[in-house]
Amino acid sequence: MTTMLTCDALVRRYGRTRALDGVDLSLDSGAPVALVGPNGAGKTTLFSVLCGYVRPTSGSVTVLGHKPGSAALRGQLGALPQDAELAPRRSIGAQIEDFGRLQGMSRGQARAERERVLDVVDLADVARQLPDSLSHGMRKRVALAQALIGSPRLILLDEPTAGVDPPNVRIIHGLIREMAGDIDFLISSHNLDELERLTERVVYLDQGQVSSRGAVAVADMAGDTEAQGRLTITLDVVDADVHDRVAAAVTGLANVTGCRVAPRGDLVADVLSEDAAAAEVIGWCAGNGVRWRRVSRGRTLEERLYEA
Amino acid sequence: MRRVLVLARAEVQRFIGSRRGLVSLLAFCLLWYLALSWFVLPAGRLASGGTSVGLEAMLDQYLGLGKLLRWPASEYAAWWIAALYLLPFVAVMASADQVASDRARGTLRYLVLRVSRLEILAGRFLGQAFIMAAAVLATVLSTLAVVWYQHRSLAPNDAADGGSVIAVVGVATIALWVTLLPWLALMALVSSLARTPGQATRYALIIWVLLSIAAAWLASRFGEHVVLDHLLPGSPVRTLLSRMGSEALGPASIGLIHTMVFLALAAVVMYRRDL
Repeated sequence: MTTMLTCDALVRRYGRTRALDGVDLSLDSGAPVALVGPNGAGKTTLFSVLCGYVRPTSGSVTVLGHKPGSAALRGQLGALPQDAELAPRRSIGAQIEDFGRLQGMSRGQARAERERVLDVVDLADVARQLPDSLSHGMRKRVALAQALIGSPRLILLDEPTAGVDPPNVRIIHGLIREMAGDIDFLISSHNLDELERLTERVVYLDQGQVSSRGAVAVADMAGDTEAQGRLTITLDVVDADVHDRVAAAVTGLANVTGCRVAPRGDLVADVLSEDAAAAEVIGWCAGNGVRWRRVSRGRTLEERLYEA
Repeated sequence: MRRVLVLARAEVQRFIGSRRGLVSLLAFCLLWYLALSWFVLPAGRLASGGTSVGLEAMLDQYLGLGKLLRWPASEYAAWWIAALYLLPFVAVMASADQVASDRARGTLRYLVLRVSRLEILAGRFLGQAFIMAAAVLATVLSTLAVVWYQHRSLAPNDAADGGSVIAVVGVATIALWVTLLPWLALMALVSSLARTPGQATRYALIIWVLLSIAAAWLASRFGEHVVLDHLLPGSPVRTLLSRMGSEALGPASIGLIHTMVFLALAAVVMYRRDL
């Protein structure tokens, strides 16, 4: 297995502020990785260091075995930087074609690649348009298209769906899932539901350091021991009283030893047998006219990160 | 080098497509139209009206520019003066946005995944150099057209020798283009420091004023020195006014030193600044 990236005592200071304060991290190629943390945690700074936009103050960092920004990474690393925009007065197709040519393609190859990547993001018909003529969601998809030029081994996505409408979010999610088998992804986002669907590993960054909060510092989610003996139940009800009533009732079921309402409304139950408890919970809801939406093993990512 | 050329071509296309580019182009056309109609054309009429001896005496006595009348036609001399003074303004205006707005917008982030920062600097500078070469050529060709129009009634033997005109004007054209390069390099430097083209232009003005003050202070403290005369970008213009053809290459080449210094500083800024 190859190494995707390493950070060793990585520090980046802005004046007196240490945006990255000794990050130690090593990630192998494989399943997509989520980069999460509160505002100001250093996610975008780490992303910028990995892309070579920002130089570290001290420490070392490698991406696919090379120093960020080095010539060896060109064509190997794709990125969707947050808030970066294409030049407003040149057509989307011309700019994507230029990117291809800068990656060493001939004019014909670059044209074919332009058509391919725009087709992948389902925007083949916008090549002649100016970036400003597109919606925010479509611009994000164009930005994703430029990250796919050539054959990147690793793509870094910084808030890929921030401010994007649901139809475009679905398209972007679908693309990432489709490509995740061939390309490594590191996805920085505040949308934990999104990360839960797209990633299998989580790096939690807090105050410029990789944190162990929530026991998911650099953990493979499948190997999380906290997932054992837990069920998360999502009801199709908003009323908090109903949640409390259901939690109390579920606690009395044979395979459930306890149940509480998490702040965002999910019920988190401690169970003896996940399969048996799930059947009991669903049966109880059906018998008492309570509509449920989802019953899942373990805790949600949000629960694990913030309800430790 | 291939990547630099791709970037240079994109810079020319970006310039033509941008509002700044169109405004610069319009300003250049208007300025040059005024220069042609108020300066180049009258110069030809003045000379052909038999007053060239008086004009030479006046230029020599009051301006020290009598050598200008050695040009094959007085229109060329007028072109030389007008272009030397006008084109630097056009160069500054046109090249103020080599990287500033792309940095602010984040467009450079897409580019540095594919090329080095120095290649971006070189490509944008080269693109601007192409644009200014086109502007210089436009002034030359329009002047040649004016000369042809003014002297079309002359017998071939009376007209200046075509070969020598092409040699003199051709070399002067190159010298003129080289004279503009320091301005483009200065704007590359300030553009990599600024977030908008307007800010870049203000930075350029500040640098120019500071260099003027520094040169004046050094001269007052250590006496006049030839090096101080050449501290400012555009300093060769005063010398160039009285040069013709290949004589202009020497003073113009001082601009190459300015260009290299500004580009080296711009490279340091580009390399060190966050994107």
